[in-house]
Amino acid sequence: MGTDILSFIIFLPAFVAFVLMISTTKVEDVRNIAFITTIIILVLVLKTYLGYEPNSEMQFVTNVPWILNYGINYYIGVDGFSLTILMMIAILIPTSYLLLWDGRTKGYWINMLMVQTGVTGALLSLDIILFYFFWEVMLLPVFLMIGNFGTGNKIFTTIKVTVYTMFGSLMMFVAILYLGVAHFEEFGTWSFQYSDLTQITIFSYQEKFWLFLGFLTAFAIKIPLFPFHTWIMDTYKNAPTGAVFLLSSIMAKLGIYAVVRFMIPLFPDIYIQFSSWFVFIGLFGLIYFGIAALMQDDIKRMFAYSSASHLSFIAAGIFSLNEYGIIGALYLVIAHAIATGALFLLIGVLYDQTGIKTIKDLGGIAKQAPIFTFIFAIMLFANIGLPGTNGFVAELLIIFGVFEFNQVMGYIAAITVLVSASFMLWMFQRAILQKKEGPALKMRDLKVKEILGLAPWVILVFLMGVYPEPFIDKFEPSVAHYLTDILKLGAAK
Amino acid sequence: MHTPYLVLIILAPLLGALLNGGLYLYHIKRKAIPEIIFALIGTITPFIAFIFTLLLFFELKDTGTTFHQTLFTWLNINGLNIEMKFLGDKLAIFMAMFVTFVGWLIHIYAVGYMKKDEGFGKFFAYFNLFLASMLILVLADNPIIMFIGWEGVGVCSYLLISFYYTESQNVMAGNKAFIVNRVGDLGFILGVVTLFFALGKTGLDFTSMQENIGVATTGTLALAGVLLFIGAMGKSAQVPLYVWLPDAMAGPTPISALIHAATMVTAGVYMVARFHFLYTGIEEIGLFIAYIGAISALFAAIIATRQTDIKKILAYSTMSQLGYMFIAVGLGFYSSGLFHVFTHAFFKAMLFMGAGAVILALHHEQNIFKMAKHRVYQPIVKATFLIGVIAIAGIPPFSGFFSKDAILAAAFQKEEFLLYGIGIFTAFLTAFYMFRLYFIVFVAPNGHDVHYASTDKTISFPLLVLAIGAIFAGFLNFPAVFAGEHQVDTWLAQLQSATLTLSHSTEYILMAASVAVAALGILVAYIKYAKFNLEVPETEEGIIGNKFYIDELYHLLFVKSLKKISTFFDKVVDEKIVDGMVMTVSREFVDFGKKLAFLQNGNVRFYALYMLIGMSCAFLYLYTTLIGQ
Amino acid sequence: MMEIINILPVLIVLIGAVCLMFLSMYDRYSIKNHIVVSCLFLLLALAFSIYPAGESFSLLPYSEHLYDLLIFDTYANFFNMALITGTLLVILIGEHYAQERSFIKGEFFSILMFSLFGMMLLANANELVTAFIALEIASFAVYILVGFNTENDKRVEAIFKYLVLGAFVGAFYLLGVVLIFGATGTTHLGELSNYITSHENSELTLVYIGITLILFTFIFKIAAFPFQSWVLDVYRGAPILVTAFMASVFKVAIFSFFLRAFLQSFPSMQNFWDPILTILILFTLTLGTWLALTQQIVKRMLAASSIVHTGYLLLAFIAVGENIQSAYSILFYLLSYLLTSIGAFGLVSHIIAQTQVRVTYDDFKGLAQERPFLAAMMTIFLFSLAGIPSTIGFIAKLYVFTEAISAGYIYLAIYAILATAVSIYYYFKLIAMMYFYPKNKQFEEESFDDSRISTYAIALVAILIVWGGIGTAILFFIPIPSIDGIFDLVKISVDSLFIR
Repeated sequence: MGTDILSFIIFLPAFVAFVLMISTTKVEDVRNIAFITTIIILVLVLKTYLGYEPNSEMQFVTNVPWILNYGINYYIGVDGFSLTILMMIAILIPTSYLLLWDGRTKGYWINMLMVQTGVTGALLSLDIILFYFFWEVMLLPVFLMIGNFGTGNKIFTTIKVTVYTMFGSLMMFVAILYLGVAHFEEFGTWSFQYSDLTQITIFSYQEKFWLFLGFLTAFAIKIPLFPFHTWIMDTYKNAPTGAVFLLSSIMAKLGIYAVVRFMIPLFPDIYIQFSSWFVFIGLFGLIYFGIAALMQDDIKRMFAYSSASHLSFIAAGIFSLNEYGIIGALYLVIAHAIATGALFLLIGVLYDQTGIKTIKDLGGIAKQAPIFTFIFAIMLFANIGLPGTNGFVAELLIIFGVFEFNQVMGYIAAITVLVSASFMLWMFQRAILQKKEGPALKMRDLKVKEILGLAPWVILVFLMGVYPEPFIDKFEPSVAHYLTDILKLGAAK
Repeated sequence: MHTPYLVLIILAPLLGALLNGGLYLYHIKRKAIPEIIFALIGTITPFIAFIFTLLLFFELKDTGTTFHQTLFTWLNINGLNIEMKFLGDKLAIFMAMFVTFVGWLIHIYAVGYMKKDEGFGKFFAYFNLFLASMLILVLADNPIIMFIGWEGVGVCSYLLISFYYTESQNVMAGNKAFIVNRVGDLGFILGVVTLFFALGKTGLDFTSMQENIGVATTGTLALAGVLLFIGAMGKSAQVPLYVWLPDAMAGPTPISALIHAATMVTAGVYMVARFHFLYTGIEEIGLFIAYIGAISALFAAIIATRQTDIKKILAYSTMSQLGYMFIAVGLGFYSSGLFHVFTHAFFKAMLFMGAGAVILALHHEQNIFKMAKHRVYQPIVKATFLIGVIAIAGIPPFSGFFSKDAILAAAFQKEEFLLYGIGIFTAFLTAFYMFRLYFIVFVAPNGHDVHYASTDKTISFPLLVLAIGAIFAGFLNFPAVFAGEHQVDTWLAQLQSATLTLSHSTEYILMAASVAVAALGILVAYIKYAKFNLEVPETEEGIIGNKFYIDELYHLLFVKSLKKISTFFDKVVDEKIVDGMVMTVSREFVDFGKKLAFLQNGNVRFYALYMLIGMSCAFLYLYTTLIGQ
Repeated sequence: MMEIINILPVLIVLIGAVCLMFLSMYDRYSIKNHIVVSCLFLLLALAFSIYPAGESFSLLPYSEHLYDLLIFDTYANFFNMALITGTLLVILIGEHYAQERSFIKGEFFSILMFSLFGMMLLANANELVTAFIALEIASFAVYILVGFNTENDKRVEAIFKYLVLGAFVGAFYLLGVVLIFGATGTTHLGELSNYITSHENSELTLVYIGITLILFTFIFKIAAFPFQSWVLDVYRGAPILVTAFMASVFKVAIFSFFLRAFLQSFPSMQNFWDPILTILILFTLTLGTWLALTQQIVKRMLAASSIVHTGYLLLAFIAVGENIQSAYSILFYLLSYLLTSIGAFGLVSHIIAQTQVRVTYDDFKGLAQERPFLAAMMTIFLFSLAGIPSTIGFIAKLYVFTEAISAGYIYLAIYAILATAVSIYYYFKLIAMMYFYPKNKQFEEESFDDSRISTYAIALVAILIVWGGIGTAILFFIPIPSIDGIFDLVKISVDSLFIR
């Protein structure tokens, strides 16, 4: 194993999934094996996390040629950014299994495993073609999940989301190839390692601008930023719990991550030049989606808007281009992943129980399922960014970041403390707390294993909220190094 | 000076909260735990906190050196260095003292009040949490940690107000409180951020801020000051962010007592006092604060005169008293303001508890006229309530008199006669509506024969203790006119408050004036209500009765319009415009393809034709390129 | 000795064709026998063509007998391998279909072999007329194959169209040859290139015109705009095996010769046709996309999408003028498309073998529940067609687009990418049909046995595709030949053109 621990982490799920696909057919076995797999991965990731010295270097690197003729390598490694998100993913997924435990089919679990490979791979790959590879691959299982296990107008939704996101990816694809070619023209060798691609100097301003746009399309759709967001509403509404969880908690975050990892280092100057626009778009999205979420009746759709709102805010933090902003954004990535993930899973439980996901038909849940409500409330408040939860630290830092970037925008950014609170609490009141007219809904409380599954998240929420420094220490050096690099390059070009 | 106790003050109630919470969660699953355990945990922990505070108080009294306690570095990102650190200076200890003390009493009271409530354990969990957050707020060494407490009390008030969450209007009230407070918090955060960058990223703890305050320009400081004060508005229910306060009465009475008397609402005043170094620099903002306070005081008082719900009346009276406090701090008389906070804590807590006792005895009847109808006789409650009413009305030698009078005198000395005028008039109104309340509930004849009702020990004990406070607390700041030596003012010297420099004669006149006004108020109330005919009760009508329709206005401005916009965004902008465009383009694309199908008509002649056309184009090209030139 | 080995594959195929012809005269030999025999011959031929693979050579064996009409170099060898493999796969996958369909007689395979022979000749042709003859051998064989389906009333129309239009452009080809001969006095590719290089443009007018005319045939055969119209009807009318054969193998064969011609003889003149080709590419992509979008019948959709793939190939073809690497990418793309389209068409043939239905999108509903294995395979093929990563289609697209971009045709590349984006729609629609819909009631009682050659062949193709896409990246610890291996092969093949 040694340095290939990352490869192992990436491919174990896919491998297991493949074996399961051709071997057993008993759903329970499939699920249990899959679950054990995720646990193993969690352990490995933990090992990595502890083995990682906080500095700006890439670590646990594996770099072997894949397609020599085009200098495409199988090149993976972690730094502060990816490590943090990797840890997040590893923690999130097993719990999601526990909450999805019953009433799934074999395909469901296999897809879940596949997705894990996809996201981890995309997260860890440092060769941009390899990244694209995983980036596309991770979508396919979700495509299958939505289509197979979704509700409502699921097929249209599936096709729409696929074409929509693939369109974005393909725009990025052109840009990537163009970069590769440029590298070839300048240095005479093929390479798609992002570290090499950042060295390219022969671009004209226009070229860089368009390439930047190419990447932006892909990520803006995935994140999603206004106005590329319309696919998520129906998707979240119709997709099964697992898929929504994966999309909102993990894949959307990868969009953010990709911006940090590839887009900004590749085009620092364009980025710096337009950053104020992006911060603005981010903040606009924050408020726009927040307001739009207010009147949603379908609870999942409401959360779609709420995620969009948060992610826009994260984007604003990233684009504000200073330590507060970026660290805050990264922190919010995790915070939001935990909170939203938990909420989606809980709503999944609620939906499985009652078969209802429209707010106006829900109600009186709190009386019947106090534990459920308790955890739901905690996650809700974490989502709102209440002090003591990790959400607060993140939002605070982002506000600081945006403020340093531009005072006025800072003032706008602070509106975040209002936005989510308003619609979240209102939903909470109507869907969970207040008693419902007519017959009460049948709703069981959380099972022990579900509680155990969520317990680590609850602990994390508060731990990261009360004592954030150790977590931030892990990736602060990367951020610092990153910033200095960007600024250096930005100045150089 | 480092001390291990500071954090214990906070931890005690926090621990209580966790214990109670955990036990309660266990409790709902299988009904196992008797109330007494919750009660014990719930009441002992605040007491411990109080004891520790007391210890520190005495130590501080002897040594006079402020305490510090650093737990760990909360955040440290280039310049933004936030320590999880607590500060036990005289201000903080002073505040913590009565917070813990009154808080403790209210906890005891709650034991009696909440008896046999199914949410008993949950209630005490929230209650302790509330106290803990408040203490974090008070003892915090930097605004960020302070903000944690600040929001903590916010969320606790949300939880407590919507305690009976099955009734939607309770939850609504909770939401309202939370959101409106959040508006304030928005101001607070921005204030802090502005200040942080204005001071050139030099630390965020109060001491370093105080040192570097000179760095910033007055403009930015003023901005920060206003923003911070918006925070105070939210918490301390000042115009225009007061709307949540009356609705907050939805919660059980002990909460009202805790929120309005000892803790939450006074946070704003405390915070302004904390930032005195900022506000002393910017007089005009101070004045602005003072005027906001005055307006709130008057406004609330006017509304209170027409209210029929006993708790609402008390709520408005709280708001109006807070107005006084802001007048004081606004004018730079921080110690006077805090002193009023102090005295107010006693009598207002007592009033609420008394009201609660009556409500309890009358099976949750809150309309004062109906209460009067089925009046039951609770001597202790009646007596203590009277004391409270007198105190708040400002009749010497009760505590309210001294604190309020000091404020009025301050306004007078600053030659802000308008403020003084408002203040004095409000004093009149206060006396009037409080005694209106008293006369209706306890005095006005209802034709029934009196029948007694027993009062629970846990209820009567705190009442009595607080009564003592309400009577004598005033002497702690015995003014110089009566050869007193302003213990409180001297204790809070660090705030560099302005001091009264009026000649004694003027002070006498002012006092006489305010007493006279108060007496007048009482008189009017007596004439109007002592013999009030309960068969024709007053109702909340007219512009005052409807609280100047402010709630309706807000609802129209913020809630309704927001919902409209939301629907617009969702249904029109997203579905029609953004998504509509995408879908239309793709659909059109496909349709055009369908239209093109006629090319594929399967008719070979046409195919040959296309080929010919294509070829001829090619030949044309050949001609132009080869033979052409 | 060496020489004979070179021409052996072609000979073997020819002999095989003849043998099968005789075999088919006797009714006691079942279709199975024919299949076995043809497979044997093909395998033999394949073996002999693989033998010299990997080394770079370019020979003119028996020049005193053949007069250098045929050239045997790595390039030709590569194509021989591809063509034989393709045919082999077609037969193997089609085995099920062939046995179920009464109209498929023994001679079917003989004709198939003949057309393969023609194609291999075409790949080896070193002279314009020889090429034409080879092309016609192949074409006529295919004409017959197209008309083979006696059950299908569309066949007459199909064969008629194909024949007429084919003859129509064939005439232009000959005219082109005549003009070139008139101008240069030779039709031999080598001499032709010498002539061209030794004269400057003004004297080459006739040559230009001649080549343009030849181009028409090329464009017609690969079914690019404006000569694409026949494709849908012909593919529709032909037995699906033949469709598979035409869409994959035949296309490869066509490219083999014209690419050779352009690389060997007229590289200097390439840019002359850029404007024409550009317009061609644009329209080919657009029309192909539109046609594919609007088809309801899967077979037709695949046919239409093959037009789009032609567009991609042309994109690389136009880039050849700028950098030789794009020639590599063409070969690679051909290889990937060969596998994928055989897989896709073949799978459809396998599915419809026992039933007349399952040709429209709706007929595919619920296939995943019924026959999950086949559905999975089909998914892989569709992914590959759509160029989704982890399939060879992705790598192929990667190469083509990269080369197009590095040749400076960035806008064409972007346009092609857009076409790809749209293509995802019509490919994924089929996947959605297979997976997301409940199974159609009317097929439930049918019982399939999937344990037969066709299935394994399909599986083999699928594995090849996935392996090609993942290459060694994922399995870097297992020592298997990587796609780099293929790529090097491609490279030396193309380079062998310039040995002399």
